[in-house]
Amino acid sequence: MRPLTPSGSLGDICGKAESVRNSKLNSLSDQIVADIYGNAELITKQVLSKRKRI
Amino acid sequence: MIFSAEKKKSRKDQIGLSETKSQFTIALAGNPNVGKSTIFNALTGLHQHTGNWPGKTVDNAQGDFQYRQKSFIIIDLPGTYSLLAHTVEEQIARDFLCFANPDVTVVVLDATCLERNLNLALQVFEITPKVIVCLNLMDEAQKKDLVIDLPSLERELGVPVIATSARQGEGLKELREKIYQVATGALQTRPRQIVYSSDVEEAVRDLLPHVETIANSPLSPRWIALRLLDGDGSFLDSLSNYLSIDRALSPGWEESKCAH
Repeated sequence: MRPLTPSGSLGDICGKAESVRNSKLNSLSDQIVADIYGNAELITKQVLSKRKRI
Repeated sequence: MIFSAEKKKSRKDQIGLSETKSQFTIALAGNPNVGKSTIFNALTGLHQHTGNWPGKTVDNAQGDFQYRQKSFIIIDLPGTYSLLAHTVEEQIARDFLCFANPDVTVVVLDATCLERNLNLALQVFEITPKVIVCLNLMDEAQKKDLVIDLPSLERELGVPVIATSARQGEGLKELREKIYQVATGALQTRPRQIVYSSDVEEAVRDLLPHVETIANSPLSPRWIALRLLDGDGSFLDSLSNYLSIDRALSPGWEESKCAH
């Protein structure tokens, strides 16, 4: 067994992540999902159209 | 954090893949009911076998095909709407893409539901650059009078986009050729990366220096940071499992996930 991280542990990183999450007013998890959906929506608007029937 | 001296089996080993040096691994990802299995069958013919993913009651189909004197193994990943791992299927697909390091990932999209399907493609882009988008069910899209500007879509996504109607066998020749080109490195891809809202980007910047201490990880530190900020406990389990990082040294994470 050898240390993977010389100056920290996975627990430290998780603790830091939790602290960063808690420092935000809004849920980062929800925001991440919303941003992905927003990108997909933007791309779709740029490339998709509907043929008009004559 | 401790790195085990005896490296655990990779996902490739765990599902019994035994590719040789000249054999490429292709992952087939996509939402449910987008014609993924039709494409899988068309590419592999009868050269396929099925079973379950280890320890899961989820079908695992893999097959092989030859093209231009090269051999390809293709894995039909479970159909998923996302890689955020809320279901066992999402976890399997995410872990395969993260830890089996496929040579090419083909994301099959339903051309009649482009927006919903792009969500998955954008998530795959964050894990691996070697992606081809297969826009399937083009015949159905035409019936619905939908017009998709393929060159624009390709520019926006930064990866090859191949239009197919797999049931009619249309576009499969082009798909094989692109798989070959990306797998062999003849074609380089630069998939679009999501720029998140300022709150998320700021949080990623705060966490990155800590995540970068995870040595020997094949994953992008940015992606790991996003999953940790997402509070994804199942991803932590997978990191621990596939990279042999001692999970026991991260107590309290499940509680924080539940509280999140």
